[in-house]
Amino acid sequence: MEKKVRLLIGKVGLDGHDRGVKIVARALRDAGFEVVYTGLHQTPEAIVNMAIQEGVDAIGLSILSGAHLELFERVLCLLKEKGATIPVFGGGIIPPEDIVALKKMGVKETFTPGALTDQIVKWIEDNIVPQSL
Amino acid sequence: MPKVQAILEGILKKDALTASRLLRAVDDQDPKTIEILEKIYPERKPSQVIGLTGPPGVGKSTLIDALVAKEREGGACVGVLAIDPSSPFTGGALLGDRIRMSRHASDPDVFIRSLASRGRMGGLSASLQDSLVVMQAMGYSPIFVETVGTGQDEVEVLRVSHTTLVVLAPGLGDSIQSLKAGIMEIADIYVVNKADKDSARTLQSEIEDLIGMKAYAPEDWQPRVILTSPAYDQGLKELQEAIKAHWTYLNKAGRRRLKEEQIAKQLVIGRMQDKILHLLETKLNHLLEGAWKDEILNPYTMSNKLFERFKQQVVDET
Ligand code: B12
Ligand SMILES: Nc1nc2c(ncn2[C@@H]2O[C@H](COP(=O)(O)OP(=O)(O)O)[C@@H](O)[C@H]2O)c(=O)[nH]1
Ligand SMILES: [Mg+2]
Repeated sequence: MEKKVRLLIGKVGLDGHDRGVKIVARALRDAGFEVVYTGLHQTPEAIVNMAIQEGVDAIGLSILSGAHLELFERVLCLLKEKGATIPVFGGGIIPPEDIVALKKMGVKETFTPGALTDQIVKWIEDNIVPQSL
Repeated sequence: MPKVQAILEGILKKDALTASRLLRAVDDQDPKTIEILEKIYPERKPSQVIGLTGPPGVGKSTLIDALVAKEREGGACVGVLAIDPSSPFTGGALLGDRIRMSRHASDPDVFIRSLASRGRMGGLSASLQDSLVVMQAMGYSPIFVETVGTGQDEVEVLRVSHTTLVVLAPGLGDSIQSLKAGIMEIADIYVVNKADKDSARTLQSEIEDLIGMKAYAPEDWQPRVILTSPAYDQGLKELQEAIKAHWTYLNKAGRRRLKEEQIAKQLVIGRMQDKILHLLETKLNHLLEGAWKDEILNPYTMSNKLFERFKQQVVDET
């Protein structure tokens, strides 16, 4: 059986904007990925725990609340604590200067309003490899 | 392979990262997992596998969420395997069952894994039984299995679970008569969910009539019909008790052994099926290769002839 890329796509923090993330999650499914969608209002702890249990190849977070710097940092920190090497990417309302900071922090890529889902799919195909034993 | 030993130890220590990676390889049907599964199998703890099936939207995921919460009150470590359909066109899947189980997301004693059906019919995934073995070896008990939930022909769950729940709800537009016969015959417990809705009682008595028409020997399990509404904490205790009563029933008089024999047989069949199908396909292509050289032969004559030859070559010699 061929390997499938599995992704965790979710919303962290008190951010109720889920239109974008739902569009992205569906587009990723239609591109042939297996997408675990977390729903709204997850804590960084929950995101990391879910990502580990679900054995995903990457975590994609959607943040439109402005709290992206703290939330991404917390998720990356918890992953490290638990010894999980799962790449993190994301999207939402993120000013250009913060994108630089996020990348420095270890976030692999960010997509902002107007990003085409095809671009997102292409990035995943080029950068995310399905894990194996 | 020293890695095998490390994985085995990780599983027995309930290490989430190890389990997660193994479950992934199992789902990808990595041949390396066979050796590991073989070693893990004897380490399984006796944990009740509870299968839930029923049409989409009746509340299977919501019920599991509530039952997990009840089990956690009692201190049990709980496993959940939830299956959603893969698209037959793209192979992609949106796995959303755990949205309803959010409150357990950061509880390390609840292990929830979403699985895509990956083309397997019958409401489960090809990897389900292997995944159950891993979770049982980790000591999760009970383990809930949620089927894809087409409400049709999803009888496979019966063959892998100790206890089978058929979940229905009022307001799905039609009566239970329209459900495929199969699914109404497999339940140990019928759950009428969304009991907060008016017509729940009607549905309950409809099911009671249906199972009342069957005769049960006094020593046999008599299916129960239970009204639930997770949002109002209604019927959950009763459902939990019914599930436990079925476990007690199985444990009495060696019925569990019989059930587990069936489950193990199903595992063998599942594994063999895939291998034999593959063998068949290769063999068949091989047999056909030389046969179609000049003209297209009558496929009916051809298949008869081939079947005889195939039987001689593959079946009769063994
Ligand atoms: C629609 C909307 C709402 C709706 C949300 C409905 C819903 N269920 O989603 C409603 C009316 C509820 C709402 C409420 C609020 N909103 Co509003 N809202 C918007 C608006 C106009 C559009 C958002 C949207 O849906 N875009 C369409 C989707 C497709 O785009 P997207 O989400 O950006 O997603 C794309 C990319 O960002 C990326 N992406 C996003 N997520 C992910 C995830 C991954 C993994 C990947 C790869 C990519 C990716 O890919 C997508 C496709 O291109 C924006 C303004 C704007 N122009 O963005 C404000 C905006 C986001 N809202 C804002 C605010 C302040 C609020 C409120 C706080 C207002 C208030 N005072 O009440 C509340 C908060 C609600 C809450 N609980 O969080 C601000 C946020 C400011 C900030 N971050 O600094 C914005 C930017 C408006 C503004 N200019 O001030 N809002
Ligand atoms: N009114 C009512 N709605 C419920 C009840 N249980 C679940 N639901 C809702 O039914 C919908 C489908 O539930 P879900 O658990 O996803 O169903 P599944 O597809 O069978 O897993 C959700 O919107 C739930 O909130 C209930 O007891 N009463
Ligand atoms: Mg469900």
